[in-house]
Amino acid sequence: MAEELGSLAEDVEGVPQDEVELRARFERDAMALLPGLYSAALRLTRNPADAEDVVQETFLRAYRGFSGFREGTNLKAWMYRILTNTFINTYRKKKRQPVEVLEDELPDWYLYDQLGGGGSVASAEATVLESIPDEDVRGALDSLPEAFRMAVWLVDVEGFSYKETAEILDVPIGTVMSRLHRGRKALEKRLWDKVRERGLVR
Amino acid sequence: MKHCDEVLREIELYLDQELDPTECSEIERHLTGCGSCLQRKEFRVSLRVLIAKKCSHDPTPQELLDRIKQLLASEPS
Repeated sequence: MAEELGSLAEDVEGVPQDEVELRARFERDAMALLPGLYSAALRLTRNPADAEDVVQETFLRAYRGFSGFREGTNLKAWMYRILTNTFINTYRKKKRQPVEVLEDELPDWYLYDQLGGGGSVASAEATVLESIPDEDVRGALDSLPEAFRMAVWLVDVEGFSYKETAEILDVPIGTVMSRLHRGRKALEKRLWDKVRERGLVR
Repeated sequence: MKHCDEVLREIELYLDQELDPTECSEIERHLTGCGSCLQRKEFRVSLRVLIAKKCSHDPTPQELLDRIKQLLASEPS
């Protein structure tokens, strides 16, 4: 487990942890991350039952590895990394997933241009976006291929830096940047499709 | 002084707080004098806020919370 987690958690040698204290610390710090981790698992699995399994396994692994977690390092990033590993190692292996491809490169500022950005009413675009139902926005994000979906989710929703995201996903920073850039554009395209489906613009 | 195309290319990094302070202040200087870039930046900001807000945490099932607590309590030390 410790090797798998790389630089985010290295074994602290020779520090015997009082079990009661350890348990309390884990419950206090890690359990607070449950809502975010459950949502992240939903983004990964796109299925509540599978998401629950992945989260449960994540907590078990994290708990078992917690004595090796160094206080002061980023617990949130550490937990998300375990979640991602759990998903890849246990869940995804079991299921044969079709290869998901992203549409061809879209132009930058796709949505802005579609919404007629640059017109006289500066806030009109934002108002249209605001009127898209929550489930549509979530659905648009969920429809992105996994690699892109995760990059966008971790940075835009969870607020991780590029470096943290790279560590969580175990890919180079350049890969995070390109997935993020392409993923955001693809998301814009899907949001625009929703806007049109719902007839939110004339 | 940065030109519009350069600013628009870097705006994503800027909003992600991944640029160094010098680069940031150059972009900010450009934005104060360029309404068109500023409007695009504002659009990106509202899009970002919207996604974060609308995709924020799904409610966690209470039984999942209970199950995890139970599981951890039964873990041997």
